[in-house]
Amino acid sequence: MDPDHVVQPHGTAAVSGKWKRLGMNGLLLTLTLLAFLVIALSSVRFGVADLTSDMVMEAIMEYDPNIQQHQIVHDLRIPRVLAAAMVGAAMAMSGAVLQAITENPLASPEILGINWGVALTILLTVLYLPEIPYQLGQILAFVGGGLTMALVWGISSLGAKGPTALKLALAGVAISALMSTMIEGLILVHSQNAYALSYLLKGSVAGVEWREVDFLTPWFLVGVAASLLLSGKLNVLRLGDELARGLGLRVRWIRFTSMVAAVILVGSSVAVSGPIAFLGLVVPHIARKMIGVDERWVIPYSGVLGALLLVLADLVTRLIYDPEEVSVSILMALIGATYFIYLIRSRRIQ
Amino acid sequence: MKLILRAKERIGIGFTSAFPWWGIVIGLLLLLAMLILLSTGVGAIPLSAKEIMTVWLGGEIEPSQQAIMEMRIPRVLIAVLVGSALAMSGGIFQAITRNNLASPDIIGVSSGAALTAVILILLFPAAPPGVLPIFAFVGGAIAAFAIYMLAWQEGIEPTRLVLMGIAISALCLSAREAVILKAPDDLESALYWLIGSVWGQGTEKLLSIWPWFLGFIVLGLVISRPLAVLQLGDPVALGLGNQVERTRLFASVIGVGLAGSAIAVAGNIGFIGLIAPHMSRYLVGPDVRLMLPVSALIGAIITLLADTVGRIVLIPAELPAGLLTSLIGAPYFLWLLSRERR
Repeated sequence: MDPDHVVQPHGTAAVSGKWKRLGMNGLLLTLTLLAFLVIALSSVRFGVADLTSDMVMEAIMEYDPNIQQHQIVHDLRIPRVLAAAMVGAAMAMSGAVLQAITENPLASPEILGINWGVALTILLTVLYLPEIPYQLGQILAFVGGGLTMALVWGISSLGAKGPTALKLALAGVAISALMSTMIEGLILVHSQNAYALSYLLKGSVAGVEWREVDFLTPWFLVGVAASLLLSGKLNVLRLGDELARGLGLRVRWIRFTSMVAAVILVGSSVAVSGPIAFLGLVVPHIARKMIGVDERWVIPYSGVLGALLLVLADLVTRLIYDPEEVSVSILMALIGATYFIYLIRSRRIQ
Repeated sequence: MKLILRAKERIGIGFTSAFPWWGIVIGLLLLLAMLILLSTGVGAIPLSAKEIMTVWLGGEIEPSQQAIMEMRIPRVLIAVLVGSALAMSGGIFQAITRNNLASPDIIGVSSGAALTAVILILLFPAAPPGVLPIFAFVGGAIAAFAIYMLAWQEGIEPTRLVLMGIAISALCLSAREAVILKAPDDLESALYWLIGSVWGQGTEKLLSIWPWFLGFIVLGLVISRPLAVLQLGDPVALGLGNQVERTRLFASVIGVGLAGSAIAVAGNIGFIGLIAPHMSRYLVGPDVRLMLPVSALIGAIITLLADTVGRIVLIPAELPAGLLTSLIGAPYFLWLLSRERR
């Protein structure tokens, strides 16, 4: 059974309508991608250090480690932009995937507590298991994030009406409060390296190095590929479990793999930037509003939009508060909270 | 009115304690008194029971021990004030919203108060300590007002109110963490404050803040009577001559004032405002006139206990009280939530 024929918002008869929609969505995606590229390039071009365009081009084309301006571009700005783009895309895509599999408009990395679960596990491994290999520590962090999500979802599913938006939100708030307090407490107890550890609370891509970009890239690619491959199946899942099962979909397996993909995306990002609030909650809603309900469009579009938003927010904070930068998470929270309030008032989350 | 209240109690949440209420109050007072004495004795340098009694009764002991006591006594008293204020604030909000899950930290008042307090502490360190409660109060009031206005759509619906609270809290929280991590002359004390702790509070602080607490607690006791009538539902309360909207407004102001003063002094000691009223209701039943003062007592006991335990588990390091209350309070909250029917 081809999911194309099952999920057809405008009816199968309107074939020309389908092609029109495809064209429109393609155009929208291309335009957003272009906008993202422009912003990413300006983010490399502009910053605290005043560089000329020629200098930046030269640094990219013929990098000379002995010139200080080249070093700024190569070692500070490019990894920072790459990390911001990947973190933004990862958070937004994981939010879109989680909203699709839970059919809950509030599902997102921060509400489900994945952010804090990952951060807490990283802190625990850094403090108490410093000898284990880096990649194993990362996998443990994924497990921690996944367990936290299972906990929040499980608690909000208890009781009569199952996981309503309100119960999910309250369970998420309580777990996040608990975990962030535990993180702060652990940092306090090990106050000799408090500064080194406080990045786990920060929510910023400032000071990211190539090492971290190299670490993030493989996980990011795996997560993105998995989400895109699953997006068609998630369309079928939205029809309801019964129908999806009738259409031959392995519902539990799809849910599980999607969850793993979402946790990998969030977990690797949090390891680099710390938790960034609202990105994963709000971006998929904006994407759905712009591009429709087809997950095969929503998920990639969320990714591009998330990357655009975080790189832009990072650039803006860098320019406004030059040279004393505020962390990008405040600006993100401001944008995100505003849109969230709008969503609540429009009664789409109830 | 008494008749109606009694009838409500009989059909209400239906817990009649095995003990009379005054027995419970006296028991809690004794427990608090014992805890105060114990708490002044324990810590990195323990004191003997005899020394503790001598100091409390105004006698003289060895100067070095005397110095320790002079540090501990204000800290203990501040823990008592902060705990009762937070608990009472939670009780008031639960009574106003008639929702057992409401508390200043869940509703979002705490986050507003905490944000303005942090801004004052870090950006205007020279400001006199008496100004801090006013600042925290204003912050909490702004947050409460914003949440209420944003949640208003032809009336207030509890779900929308809570979701709005979450949105505003998240906003204040990230602003606060950014301010603290940005300007840390001393990250450690900033973290203590973030988690909520009565650590390092001296006599000077106590003297500058106690009138605020006492004032708001007395006001809370005064408002408990009209609040109790409110529990019968708006139509009945109106019929009994209670000005419903005005009662809600005054009670909210007092609730914000209590939470704001507590947060200004000790940061947000999590979940006290949630747990204490629940325990109180369990012990003395749902009548607000009794529930509020007993909540305050229980809040004081929990906070003091958390502070005392935090002082002795990792000697010489100290765990902030808020860490322990969150560790107990969050699972309790989740348990309540899992039984929630809505």
